[in-house]
Order: sequence, then structure tokens, then C-alpha cells
Amino acid sequence: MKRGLRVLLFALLLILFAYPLLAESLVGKAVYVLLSTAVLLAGAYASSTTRRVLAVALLLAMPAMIARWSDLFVPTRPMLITAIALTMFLYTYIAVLVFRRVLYTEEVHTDEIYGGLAVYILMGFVWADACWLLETAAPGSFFTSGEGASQPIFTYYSFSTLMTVGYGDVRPIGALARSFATFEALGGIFFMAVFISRLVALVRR
Amino acid sequence: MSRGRKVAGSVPALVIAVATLDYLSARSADALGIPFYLDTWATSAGVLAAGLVPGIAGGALYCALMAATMWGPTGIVWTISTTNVALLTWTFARRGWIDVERPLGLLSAGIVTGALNTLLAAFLEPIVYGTRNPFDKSMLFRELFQKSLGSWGGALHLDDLLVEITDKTVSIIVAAAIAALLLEPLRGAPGANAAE
Repeated sequence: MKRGLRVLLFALLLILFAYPLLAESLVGKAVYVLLSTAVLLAGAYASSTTRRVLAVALLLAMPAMIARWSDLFVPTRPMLITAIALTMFLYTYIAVLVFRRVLYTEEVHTDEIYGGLAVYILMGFVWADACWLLETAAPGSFFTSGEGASQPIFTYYSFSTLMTVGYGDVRPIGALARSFATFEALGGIFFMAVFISRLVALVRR
Repeated sequence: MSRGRKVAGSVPALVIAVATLDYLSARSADALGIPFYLDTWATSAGVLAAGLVPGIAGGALYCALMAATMWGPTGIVWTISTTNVALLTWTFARRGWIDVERPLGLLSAGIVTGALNTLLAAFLEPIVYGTRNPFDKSMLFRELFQKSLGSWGGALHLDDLLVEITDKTVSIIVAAAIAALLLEPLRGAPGANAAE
């Protein structure tokens, strides 16, 4: 959809900038969920090229949106796990559709660049949700410097791993957590290599 | 048989489907502890599919089912509320707001429907129940609103508003998506607005 990719990228950047500030209070969490909703909806629009695909994306976005808001109103462990899993699934769906669109484009426009950047940020959020889900299901998979397991901690950890910064204040301990870290770092490097080489190939045509 | 006749001929089935889907959705939301009603999306989809009267009939049948199994006689408040949702869906569909390709229209329709439904409930509940009938699944926000406003009544209204806006926005998006996905191919034209 027209302008969808730039709206998605803007919503992702906003949530990426704001997430450490919004974790503590109920109002902060509400703003975070509102921004997540904007990402879910913008993602559905950005990833869809026809009315039918858009309708499917919106229908897929609704359970994640309901679970996110339900977890805000009634924070229980099952609701939290459902919210993380559904959001992760939808972010993956959006990232795959947007990446296909970027990869198979015939000409490079700003939209394709916005799309590629959005996919990279979505990868960070998907891995953050995966790590958070792992820590929720198997506590002790990560060392978090005594800060506990929360979404901001895993978002921070995920992006520092994706960009291969690796500060080390949050680190994987369990076997599966270490596998996740390896795949995330590898995915981050591969994505950049594929994305940039594709852009260069299109520009040189 | 023309497509229009095909749709018209299936109106009784559609009314039953609307009532059943709303009923199943409401009972599932209740069983899963979801703090939203989720019981009007099928009514809205019914309005988009077949027009105002079948939509209202489906919503009323759903409310009758709920009154018989859960709500009792006070279900009249929610019957009026569901009729209000059907009317608003019809109005917004006529204005072209309920279309998957118009995100701002969809969000506006959801927010306005939620806000008007809250006002309607705030007006009707004291008449039917003799007092407010607080929704008991969003206590965190109610406590927060009470702290900020210093008024339990005001907190109840704000809490209702938040729940209703979220609920109706989700419902209208689902209805529009279903209209685009399932009903438009049947009707053979985009828009699926049976609101003419």
C-alpha cells in the first residue's frame, strides 16, 4: 500500500527509541502497546499488495492486537506468552512479505530502502520476542545482570546481538539461548549482505 | 439466479450465522479471560454483507441467546447497544469509512462507535440496573483513573471508554476484513457495502 513502508519504518523507529522509557509505569506500558498496535497495523498495510492479502494480514493482526491489549488490562502469564508468540508470528509474517517485495523489485525507490530497513528492525523485534519467550518458558536461559526478564531487556539484548555489538551485560547462558544468539548475529550480517548487494545490483542495471 | 438474489436468498442463514458467531466469540472471550466483549464483529459483518435489517436481526438474536443463557432480563441494554453498533456500521459503511484500504476511516469508525456505545451504556445502565454495571476485568486502569480523577464514577466511565474503543475498533477491522475476503467475491464487486 502507498506510503505503508515509510509509516511502518517510522512506527518501528519510534518504538525503538521509546521502549526503554516506557517500561515502568502502566501509562508507559499503555503507550508501548499503542505503538505496537501501530506497528501491527502499519505492517499489515505495508506488507500487502492486494485487497485480499491486506484482509488476511489484518485478520492475522487482530489476535496479536487483542492479546497485547489483554495483557495490558489483565497481566497473567498465559496472556503474556500468547501475546509474545502471536506478535512474533505476525512480525515474522510481515518481515517475510516486505523482504520478498524488496528482493523482487525491478527498480530501487525510497520505499524499497524503507522496506529493507523495516525488515532489519523487525528481525530485531522477532528475536527479542523469541528470547523473551524462551526466558519466560525456561527461566535462567539468560544472564540479565539482576534486572529481571522484561521486554526492554530482551529488546536491548536482541539489537546488540543483531548488530554484533555484544556489550555482555545481558548474555545467553542456556544451550538454546546460545543457539538463538548465533543465529541472530548470523542473520543480521547475512541480511545486510543480501540487502545491500541486491540494491547495488539493481542500481547497476 | 443473479448474485444479488443469491445473497438475498441466504438472509435467514446469515442472521443465524451472525448470532452464532457473536455468541461463540463472546463465550470464548469470557472463557479465555479476555477483557473485551468481542461480540459485535459478526453483527457488523452481517450489516456489510446483507444490509441494516439482517444485521440488526442477527445482533438481536445473539442478544436473545445471551439473555437466555447468561444476562437475564437486563440483556435489553446490550440489545440496544448491539442495535446501535449495527446502525453505526451501516452509517459508516455508507460514508465509505469501512473499507480495508482506508485505515483512518476504519480507526475513526471504531473509535466513534466505542465512544457512542459508552455514552449509550452510561445512559441506559442506571435505568435498567438501577446503578452502573462495572466491567470487572480491567481493574488496573480503573484504579489508575480513580487516583488521577479522585472519582470512582469518572474512573468507571473512562475505563468503559477504553475497553469499548479497543473492542469496537477490533470488531470493525475484523468485519471489514471479512467483507473484503469472503463477501466481495460473492457480490462480485469491491467495497462489499450492502448499505445502499
